[in-house]
Amino acid sequence: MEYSSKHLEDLIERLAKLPSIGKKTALRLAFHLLKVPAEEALELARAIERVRTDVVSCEMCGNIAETQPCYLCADPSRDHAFLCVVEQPGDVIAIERSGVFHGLYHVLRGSLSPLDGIGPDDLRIRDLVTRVDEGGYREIIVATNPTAQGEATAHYLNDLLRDKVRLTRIARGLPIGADLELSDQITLARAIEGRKEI
Amino acid sequence: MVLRSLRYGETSRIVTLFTRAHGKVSAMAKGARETKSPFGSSLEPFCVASYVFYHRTGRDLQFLKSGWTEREYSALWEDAERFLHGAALLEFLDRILLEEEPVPEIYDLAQRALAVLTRAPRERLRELFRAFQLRAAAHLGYAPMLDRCLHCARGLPEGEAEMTEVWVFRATEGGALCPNCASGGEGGVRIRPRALRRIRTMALGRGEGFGEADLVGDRGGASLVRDSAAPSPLWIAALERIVEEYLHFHIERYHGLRSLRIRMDEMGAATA
Repeated sequence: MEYSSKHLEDLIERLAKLPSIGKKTALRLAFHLLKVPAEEALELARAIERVRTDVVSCEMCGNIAETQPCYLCADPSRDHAFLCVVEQPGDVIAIERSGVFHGLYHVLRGSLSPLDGIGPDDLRIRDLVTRVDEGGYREIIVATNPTAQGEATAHYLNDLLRDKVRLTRIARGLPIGADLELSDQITLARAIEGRKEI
Repeated sequence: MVLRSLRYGETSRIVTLFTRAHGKVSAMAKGARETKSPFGSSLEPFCVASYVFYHRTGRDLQFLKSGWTEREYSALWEDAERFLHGAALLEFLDRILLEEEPVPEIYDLAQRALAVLTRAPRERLRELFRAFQLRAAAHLGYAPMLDRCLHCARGLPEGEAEMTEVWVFRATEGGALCPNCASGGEGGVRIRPRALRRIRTMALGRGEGFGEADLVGDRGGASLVRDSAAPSPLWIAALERIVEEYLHFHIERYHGLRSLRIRMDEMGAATA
């Protein structure tokens, strides 16, 4: 046994399986958990347990939820005519933080990536088509990432849905504080294509 | 150009680059996913870029400092079938290239192939991709022998026999066999000499690389890049089987392509 306690060794091994955590960091975290008050460490354990038992995927939008449907889909004050399509639950949080969108979401849980073996059937595209077919949406805003995979997914959705509903793509361009001279050519081209009146 | 890219940590990426001077290079791009990253679009698939990286011999992962997009084939993002074949091209390169062994001929070929994939008729993408695979393999020294029989050295027949004789392509032997020599053995793809001649043109070309003039389809004569007629299913099936069997047998690192197993028309998207 490498450590004086089998339980400690077990904890270190489990922590080391987390992304970006190596054996040394796992060791530091384990000793930290031994040092803090017991209640604080146990609360962390309970939080992990709760997140695995109580958190589900919303059947409607695919977002992380505790109820079915999630609080966003069930909220009558939101504009149910607008649907924003994103790749991951984290994107919902980012858009919600912006405070400018008050419609509903649809989380694809990824983007088309043939190099990783991810095709349309691996994403929640079929569910999106069903939602659109059920009607009631005035506009679908495609907010996939401005990467090759995100763009390809947006174009794929456009091919699928353009005859059924109005489809828009979030604007691409220069971030606030950027220097035009140092800007990337694709970003600059998209910024000029997507220009709007002042 | 970027062959593959993995997210690392909160904002970084580990990328596999294919460079003209250094061949395939794996590198860490710190902060590549930040909004104001010094890499811009240079780490996106189908972008050809100039990179600055710190190179240390013997290190598995080099450090990328910045990237500047020189050319982009972003039209490949806009069409599911083109995107898929472009991805297959990158995956194929990643499979067949060895780390830090420059192959400038394949680098130039890949750039021309990406350009062709952006504008060729969609019906011809499968043939064009297979032509690219054959040419890249030929640059690595794996060109199949297709102009004569591997055993008796008899040349491919001309005239009527071109359409009536049945030759056999045997991947395990590395090329074509005439009807007499093929009769004893087992396996292989039965194919007309005319089709073999076209595959040979695809594999070697008349010009330097991925030129338009020498990429002829099943009808012969017309360039694949301009001829939008759908190829015959028999021709496509034979071509794909020959290329797959040949590459599987001769290039140890090749185990087929994940990208090509994806069907983009599963959802009924307008890909026709």
